[in-house]
Amino acid sequence: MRIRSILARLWAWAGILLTIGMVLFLFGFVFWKGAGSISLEFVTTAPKGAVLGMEGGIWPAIAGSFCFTLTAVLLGGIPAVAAALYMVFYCRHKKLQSLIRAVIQCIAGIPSIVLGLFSYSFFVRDLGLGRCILSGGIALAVMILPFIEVRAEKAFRELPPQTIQSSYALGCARSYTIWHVVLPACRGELVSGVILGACYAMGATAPLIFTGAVAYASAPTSLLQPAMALPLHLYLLVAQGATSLGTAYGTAFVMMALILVSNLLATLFTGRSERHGSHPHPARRQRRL
Amino acid sequence: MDPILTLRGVSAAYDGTPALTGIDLDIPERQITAIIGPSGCGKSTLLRCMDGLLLEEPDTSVSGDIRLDGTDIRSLRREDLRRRVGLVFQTPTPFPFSIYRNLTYAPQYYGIRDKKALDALVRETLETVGLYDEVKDDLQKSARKLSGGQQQRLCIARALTARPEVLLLDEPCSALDVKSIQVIESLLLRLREQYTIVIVTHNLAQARRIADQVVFLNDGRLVETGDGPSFFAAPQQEEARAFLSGEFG
Amino acid sequence: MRKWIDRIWSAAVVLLTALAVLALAFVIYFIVREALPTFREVPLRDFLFGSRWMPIDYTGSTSFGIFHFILGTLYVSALAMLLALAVSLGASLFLSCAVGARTRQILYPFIDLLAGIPSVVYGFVGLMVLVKLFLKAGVHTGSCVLAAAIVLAVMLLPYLVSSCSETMLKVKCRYEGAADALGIDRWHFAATVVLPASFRSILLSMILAIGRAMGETMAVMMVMGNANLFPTLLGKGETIASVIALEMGTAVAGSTHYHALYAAGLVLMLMLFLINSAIGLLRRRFLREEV
Repeated sequence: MRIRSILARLWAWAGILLTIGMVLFLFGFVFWKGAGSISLEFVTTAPKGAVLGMEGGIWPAIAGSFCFTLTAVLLGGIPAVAAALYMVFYCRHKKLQSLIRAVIQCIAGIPSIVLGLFSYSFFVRDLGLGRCILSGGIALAVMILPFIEVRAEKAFRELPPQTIQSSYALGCARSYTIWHVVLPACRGELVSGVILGACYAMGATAPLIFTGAVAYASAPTSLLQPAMALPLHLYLLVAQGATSLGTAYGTAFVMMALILVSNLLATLFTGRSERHGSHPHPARRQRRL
Repeated sequence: MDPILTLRGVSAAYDGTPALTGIDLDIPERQITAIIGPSGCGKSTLLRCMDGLLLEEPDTSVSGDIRLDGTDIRSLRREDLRRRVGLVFQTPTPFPFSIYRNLTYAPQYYGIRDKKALDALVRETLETVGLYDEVKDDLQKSARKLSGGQQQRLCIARALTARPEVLLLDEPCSALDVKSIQVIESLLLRLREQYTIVIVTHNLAQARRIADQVVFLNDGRLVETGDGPSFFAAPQQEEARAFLSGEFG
Repeated sequence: MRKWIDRIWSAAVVLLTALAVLALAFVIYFIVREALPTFREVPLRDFLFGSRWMPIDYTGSTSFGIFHFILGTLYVSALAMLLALAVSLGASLFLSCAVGARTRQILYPFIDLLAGIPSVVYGFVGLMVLVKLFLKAGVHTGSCVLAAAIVLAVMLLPYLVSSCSETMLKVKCRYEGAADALGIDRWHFAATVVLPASFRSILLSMILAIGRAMGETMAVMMVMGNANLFPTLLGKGETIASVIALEMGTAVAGSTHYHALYAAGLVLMLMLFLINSAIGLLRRRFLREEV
């Protein structure tokens, strides 16, 4: 019998150490290798040189990624929160509710590359938008909509129902209740959900490959232009092989740093509303791979 | 004294399962009516009929005639009805904001924007529930940091900020300690001078201490009503006698 | 006035929701519509079980069989899931049974960092580290199914750890008192009560994890070698998602090749849909049995 408990203990320690080690390794590796390429010039200038990424910086990619992400968050986040509100506070028909849930789950199950394929065929080709920030941003928006909706709905449902009823009992209308009780009480979860959704959109390559991200462009000035994006830039640099490895590590460094900061912010926001005592556990993350 | 709320032939069902059948009841103005009965007998359901919350829940049907001051509550706008009939829940349900924000929430909805008027209202309602001296220095503190008894009094104060005529309380003391219960009971006795109070309670001693009128429900039926002292001294119905002597409940 | 604000607001919520749901439904409809023409030219059987993928007419004949891609997808996903499971069960045991709430509050967001890392970065690091290791170990070019599975396993870790440890924590909280009362050693309790009692939920998480892994594109594509071969542990392979990503740009719109890529996407979606429904069924059955 002793042997079992020793094995369990070994397994537990091995598992947690490997997991933590993996996090440390990934961040450590990228930061260590990339630190050499990072300079003010690297993040503020455009790529130069005969071959992409031999010299120069990645500013257009940072700006482009920012535009893609912002488009995605605006186009995906707002409907996502509205849908979550509808599901929790408006929808009275069980059937309609399960239908909506089925559609959202189905979209959550579509691999991101297929979403890119859709956006390419429909927006780039059929509607003639061409490769642009809007086409790519829409693909990303569709991708993060279920991600944000699920989080928002969970946060709304975790509010004690009697808190909501107390507001109704005071004679306050639904819109007032939502604006003045529900949204403020769930602000932490909503903000962190949107930040994590933005993170997810920023790191996604597959939906952008043929819809809006290109190998080289200057910093974007319009939604109808194509732009560079950090993840695709990294992919192309890697595909080129050894000539641009330094820049590749630098690009990865910038992305990892952005992820680290966003996650920190998201944790802070969830943590703060948790101190209000409304939620015993922060909403766990589940990203679709 | 004229009844402010009258119920005639009120029945309610959840999902087709009857919870209340044929209730006839008058709630006298500015008195405390206590609804008692074994658990699951429909006490809370009856209470929720009175402010129309039940009408909104899916899979629930309510029939019969409920009048507030002579007007059918179905013909009133939902918001107006709720404003005139306040409701306090079993567990304290302060909004996760400051004490001040909890109390200005409803007045702002009803269009009071003036800071001074709001301050005065907050102070007045807090004084009414006897909380003012305890919290006057930190009105901006989160309401969730208050003790259970304080939270419940805050919820009563919050219900009063909408200036209701009737105050419904659903077992407001069941989650509280003895000391807080005493405080709330004496508060209710004071409130009786201005408000009509209907309280659901599972605590017979409490009903005996504060009730002017007692309503005994069993199995969704109204078994007996009577004024407090005489009901507890000599219940008329066999069921009520058995309940009071602790044979079931 | 209030009434109008309330009405306008409600209308806005309903409208936005309707818009979102209709848009999402349109995406699904569009994918199905673009996929179906494939089967006018390629019989379903040949498409699913054929192993020749010759989308462009060099040799006088084209052929569209995605059997190897399906196998590659399943192989790499299942392998990744098993690898990740071994590690995450241990980590979950640790998180649920060995540490207090405070340490958990620190470790959870830390492990969740893994979920935030973009998949290209996974692919990049995999290429720089794992593939080089495999090359040194004698695998031709270094890219192989195993390397992809390892990269994918790391990507699955945060998800599996969070769902498994949540289950285990619940089980632990339920039986902890009883175990303590009997004076049972904590690790013995973990091995004999917590682990077996969490089995069903873990099974669900496993299936869900496979589903998640199947849709991953970039990281797998960068380390798996992308050759239309029958997948073996140390050989190259290609997944459905990689095929779409690699050939989307060259497929002529409206050609069979183009429709076949959509059909491959549809097959992937259907596989995920099957997995999700299986989970729904299992979960309902487990719930019923528990009552």
